[in-house]
Amino acid sequence: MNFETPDFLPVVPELFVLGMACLILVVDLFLSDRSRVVTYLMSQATLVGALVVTLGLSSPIAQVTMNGTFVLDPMATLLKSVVYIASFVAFLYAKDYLRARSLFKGEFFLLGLFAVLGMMVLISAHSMLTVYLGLELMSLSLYAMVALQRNSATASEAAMKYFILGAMASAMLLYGMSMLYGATGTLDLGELGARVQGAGPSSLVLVFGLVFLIVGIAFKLGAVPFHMWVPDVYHGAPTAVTLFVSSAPKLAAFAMLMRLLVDGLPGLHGHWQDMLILLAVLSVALGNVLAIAQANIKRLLAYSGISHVGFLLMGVLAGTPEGYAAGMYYAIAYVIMTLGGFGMVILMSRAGFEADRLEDYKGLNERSPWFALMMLILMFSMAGVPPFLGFWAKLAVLEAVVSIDLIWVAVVAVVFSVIGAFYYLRVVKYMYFDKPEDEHSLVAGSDLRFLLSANGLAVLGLGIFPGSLLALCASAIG
Amino acid sequence: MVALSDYLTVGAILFGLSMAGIFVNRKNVIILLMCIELMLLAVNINFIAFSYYLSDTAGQIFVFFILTVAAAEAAIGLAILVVLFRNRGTINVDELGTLKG
Amino acid sequence: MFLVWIILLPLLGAALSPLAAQRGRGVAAWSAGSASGLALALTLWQALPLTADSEAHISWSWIPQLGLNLSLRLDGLALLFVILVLAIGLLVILYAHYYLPKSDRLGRFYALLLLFQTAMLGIVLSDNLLLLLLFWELTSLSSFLLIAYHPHSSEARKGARTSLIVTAAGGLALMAGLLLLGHIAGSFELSTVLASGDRVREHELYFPTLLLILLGAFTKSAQFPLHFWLPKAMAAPTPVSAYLHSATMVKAGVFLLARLFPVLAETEAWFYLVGGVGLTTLLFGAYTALFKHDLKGLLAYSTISHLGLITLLFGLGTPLGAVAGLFHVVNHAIFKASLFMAAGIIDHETGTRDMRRINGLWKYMPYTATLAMVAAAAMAGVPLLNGFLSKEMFFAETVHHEWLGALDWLLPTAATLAGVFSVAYSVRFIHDVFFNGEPINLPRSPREPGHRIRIPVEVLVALCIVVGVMPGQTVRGLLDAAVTGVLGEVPYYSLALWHGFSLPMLMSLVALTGGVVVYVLRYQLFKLHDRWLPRVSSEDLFYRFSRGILRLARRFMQSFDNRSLQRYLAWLIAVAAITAAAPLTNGVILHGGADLMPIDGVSLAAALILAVAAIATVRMRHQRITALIMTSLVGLIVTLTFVHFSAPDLALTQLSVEVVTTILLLLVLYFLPGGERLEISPLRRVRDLLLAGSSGLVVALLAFGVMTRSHTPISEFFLENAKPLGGGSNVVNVILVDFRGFDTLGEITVLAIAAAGIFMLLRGLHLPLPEHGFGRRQWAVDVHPLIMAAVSRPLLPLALLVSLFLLLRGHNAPGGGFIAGLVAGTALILQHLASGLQWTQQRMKRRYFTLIGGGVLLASATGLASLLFGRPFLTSAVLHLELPLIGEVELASAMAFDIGVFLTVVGTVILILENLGRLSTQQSAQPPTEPEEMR
Repeated sequence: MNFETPDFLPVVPELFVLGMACLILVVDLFLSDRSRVVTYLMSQATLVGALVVTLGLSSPIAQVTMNGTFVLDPMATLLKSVVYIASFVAFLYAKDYLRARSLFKGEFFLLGLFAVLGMMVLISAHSMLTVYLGLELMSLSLYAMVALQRNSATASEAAMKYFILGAMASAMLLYGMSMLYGATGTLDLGELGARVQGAGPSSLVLVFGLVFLIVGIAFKLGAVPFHMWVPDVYHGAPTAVTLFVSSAPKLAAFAMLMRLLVDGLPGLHGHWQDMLILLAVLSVALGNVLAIAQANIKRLLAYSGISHVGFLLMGVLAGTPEGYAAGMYYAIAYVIMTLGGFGMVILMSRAGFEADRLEDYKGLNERSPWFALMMLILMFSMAGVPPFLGFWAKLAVLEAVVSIDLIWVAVVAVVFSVIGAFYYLRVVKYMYFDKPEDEHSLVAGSDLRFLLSANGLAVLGLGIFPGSLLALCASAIG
Repeated sequence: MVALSDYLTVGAILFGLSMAGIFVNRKNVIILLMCIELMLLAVNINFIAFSYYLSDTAGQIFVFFILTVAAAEAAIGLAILVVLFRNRGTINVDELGTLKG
Repeated sequence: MFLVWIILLPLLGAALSPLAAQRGRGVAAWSAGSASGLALALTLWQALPLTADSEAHISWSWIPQLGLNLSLRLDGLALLFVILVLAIGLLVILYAHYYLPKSDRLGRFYALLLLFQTAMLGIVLSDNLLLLLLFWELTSLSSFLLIAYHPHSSEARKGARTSLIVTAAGGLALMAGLLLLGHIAGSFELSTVLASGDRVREHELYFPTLLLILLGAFTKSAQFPLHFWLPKAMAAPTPVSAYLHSATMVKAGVFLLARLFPVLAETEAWFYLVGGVGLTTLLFGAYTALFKHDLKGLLAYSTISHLGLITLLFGLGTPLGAVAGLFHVVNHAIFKASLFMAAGIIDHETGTRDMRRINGLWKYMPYTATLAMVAAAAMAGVPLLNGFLSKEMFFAETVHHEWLGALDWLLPTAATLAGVFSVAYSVRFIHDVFFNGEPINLPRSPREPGHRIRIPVEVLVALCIVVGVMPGQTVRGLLDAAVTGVLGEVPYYSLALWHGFSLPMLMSLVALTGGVVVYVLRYQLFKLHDRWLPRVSSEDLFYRFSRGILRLARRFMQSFDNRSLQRYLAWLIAVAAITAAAPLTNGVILHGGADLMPIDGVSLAAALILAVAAIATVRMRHQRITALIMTSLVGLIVTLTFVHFSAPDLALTQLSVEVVTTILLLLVLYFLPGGERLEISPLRRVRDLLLAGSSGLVVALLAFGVMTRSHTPISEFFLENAKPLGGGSNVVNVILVDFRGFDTLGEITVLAIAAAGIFMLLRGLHLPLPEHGFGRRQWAVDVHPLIMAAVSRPLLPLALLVSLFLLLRGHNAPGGGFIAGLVAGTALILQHLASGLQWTQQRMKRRYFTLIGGGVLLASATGLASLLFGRPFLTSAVLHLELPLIGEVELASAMAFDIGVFLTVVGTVILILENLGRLSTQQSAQPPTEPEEMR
């Protein structure tokens, strides 16, 4: 540990978001419900500002600061930027939805910003302490957001489950951290990596610590068998919250995985690879199989998300730079797709009506051919059909797995993707081949329509020109 | 002289017991919360013991954090619990299985 | 460069079609036709005559990270398929213009058709495996869209879905296979892959690779038992059937076999897999076709059978087999496309496709009948027509193969049998439709169609004859080129019409006569077929399989997704315990070598109390207050432990947090219902105990492992550096504020979040108070006992003073903003408890968020301020002050930071507790509702 005077610049984005959040906290008190939109605009401005600052500070060299607890490297810059953009999109999608249900309060955006702050800290963590701090900042905000709709029994139940399970997972993570700390005497992740290399006899403790660590990470990612909260929370929470919970936090969880395992415990790669293989295979298998049985699109997307997490893990477990890049690419691709998916649910919903049953998508093609096409693109992309974004993500990940001769993992993944194609197709079938049951026209505002179209087209565009994003991920891993 | 082992044992027992508590308890969520608190206390003992025997203050600092954050966490949990109680009229764990699609 | 244009022209046409269609159907047809036509002309102009030099190749790097290049190559094999795709495409475009109803503007149709054409051209021209895969899936997709062209027919929907599921699934298998192939060969460039045939065949992963690739090829080429999507796809408009589902797309699988022939073929596995599947498909398709009463159904199964024939030819693995296979690809495309078109005309003119009703059409449409008859004769393999030639070659190859040893009579026999059925269904197609009495009850009265719709059929039928009569002059050159593309050389083969009396000739004769006999006996056969053959088909299996998966998924859902929190927790802990225990089974030595120290009385007692209290918490769960007290006991012991470890600050913090948490819990317990007992089934009790016990055991073992290992102290560093660098001697607090300033900032942010969240959740919420207190006791009459209020009031200034002291001293002695905040908060809460909410509220301003937000802002501003002083973030600017009573105070800038922390903590604590306390409406002194009053 060194006492060189810490450099303050890399932390500026975090401070900016924190300051703005506190400012909004105070300003929001003085706003009447009619001018609540100011909170919304300020939140969005914060995200844009943070993006500008972060990009302005980006540098190709990793800077460790704040006594080794904080790191700013290309990976952090990229992931943070995507977090801002994803949150921006999520807030915009959420706006009308919240307004129609009189949930348009400052708290949603405030807690959202705090969660973003947590993600930023988590992404830039270079010490177990910072990891825990970021994680809790994020999780606490998310727990509260899930319960946002106070008069809904399902929402509060979902929040309760999320909270209990999440607190358990945090406790296990902490227990693992305490073991690692005991075995190595450091909280610093870089230092940890160096000491683990030389550890030898105490490696048993390290492995134990690792197990608990992975339980915590797997829980936050929602990997099988630590996925139980995902369907209930996605289903129970108001869609606007689900949208947020399912998108940006996944990037943070991915960062946590990278920081703790790749930065902190590269010496134990053999051990964590085995565990990740198990998680990945189970996630892909169970996620896809269970998705088939769902009649609720939010639950369906939840299980689909679980299977996507399995793919993401496959990239990381390869343990090669290409694999990490593929994992990151998958995470970003997933976030783009899931934003679109839940965005569609919001588009279809209106005051007093949640379009969360699959039947609600019947005949969408007749009601709005354009958005049916967008949904088609999203579904095909999630299924991994070329030339959409999801295909490249799958391909990159599978290539990473094949390159380390884990053929059976790749084959299992493909087999279950085939099963997975089933339920995505079911949505397509409803949209195109069935008569609409619901004849209401879509009521969404033009900003939502525009952004949702852009979202769908991005899935197509990034599918036709996948090179740049992939190159970005590769250079971020370095 | 008390050995590190004693503290770790205590921590382990506490951790195990709180896990047991989470299971054996089927009454209500409050007890679940208490058990999670116990788990965190176990973690704290671990950290403190290590920190002491390693003569490294980082562990102590971590405990500070855990204490604060755990309190905040418990507060949020209680608030959610209250909302849940209002909606459902129960806090029985076994009845928390009705999130049907 | 022209390679790119070959692909781009149809794509351009696809984009233009909807625009062109606005100007009328004719314009749409012209634009679509000229796109295909130009591409065809370009190909012929650039590539003919094809020599080794005129092979074109281009390559651009696209996604180097994935090994994906935009590489295209035109060799003989590709040329053959390009011409096939473009030429037949041109005819289909013409045909569709007259076939589809006038009300259809054709824009969408041509766009999709040309999109498909682009994808198909992409497949055959790709010189990169991944690029090929991309186009491959694109054909599945466009096929899906074309089948579902009339989405309101349920048949079309089902057909489209089935075909997409099967072919896209096959595509995914192909993806895995190609990834493996690229992995083995070290590159995805086809040229490299083709050159490393030996390496691939000897690789240990050869078999899975082969299997996966074949799975992709077989689904696309509708090989048994994955064929069932093709008959369903016949719900598509007839031009689509003629183009995609007979002439081109289904040939993609065969093309892949030909393409990878040099890499994968000539092994036993190849022979048995490809040959076996091909043979089965050949027989199965030919047999089934005979029993189809639907005109397109018959043609579909015939297509399946012919695809099986081609597959079998490649499966033989011989050079001549490959030649025959390629030749049959061409021939089949020509006669089958014309037959589909003819069938479309008949459907159009009669309004039905049921062969039991359409009879005797010769009288009504003799010209069309003639064309159809010639094409059907080619299908049957009648001499002087193109089908005869490739079928002869096929028969000859089955005779000459050597793999089966003693069983080598099997293959020729099976081939002849398939030939018999093939002739039989061809005869049926001719005789049933055009002769065989009068039409029965037709929806429309048939007549000869307009002559333009017949042009494509005429062209194709003419080709059947020309190729059949003069194979050497017409297709030989192209075939030679294609064969070179596959084998690298041209083996000797003869395209002569007459080889003398030989075994193949005899087989042809047997097939022709046998076929006629079978046709004559058809009614008896139909009856036999209906009565005896089992109804199980692979289609049923497929649907049963998909239903099975659905059932499986539902069952899984009951065990994994039953939405019970207890079940979830059980899973979470069980898996954690098992994975933690897993390393133990690998014979890891648990004992680390260091000896355990003897246990002394004090720590034993402390440990015992801890354990007892923890057990009591669980046991006393029905009396929640008692349980709460037990939890606090644990907290207290832990506090003592902290003291023992010389961590007084932590002990103080722990104590105050403990107090605050206890009050919090008490407030909530106050209005939650008391405990009724639940019955637990013994089984579940056993499960829970097992789980709890084993997880406890794992953790205990883990602790044992840790404690028997020695540790090295590492940091006297902090102790040595704290005073000079941070300006304070309380090590922990200095570290906390200065060196860990950033994290502390995070920590108080957590508090802010908790405050915001709780405020959001509880604002304006009211709960009814339960009628009884704990243990069914009545509530006390006096809600705010006077004595308590009287005692608590003087306590407030005292407590505030203490907290101020702690705050100021904090930088050098235990204390600091955090504990000070907690103490102050507790004191304020005491007022709430003792004197009631209203009393307190009258005396306090309630802008808690200003307090919290201001605190966090102050803390961060301090950081920025030190920056202004020219010091890095949160490092102290030191100022010494002498204060009366307190003594020397080093006023570090960290003090301001501490004050920020203090404010946040106080604000949060009060906000949380007050919000919880306010929940119940019981307070009589309180106004009934006061929404938003927290602001």
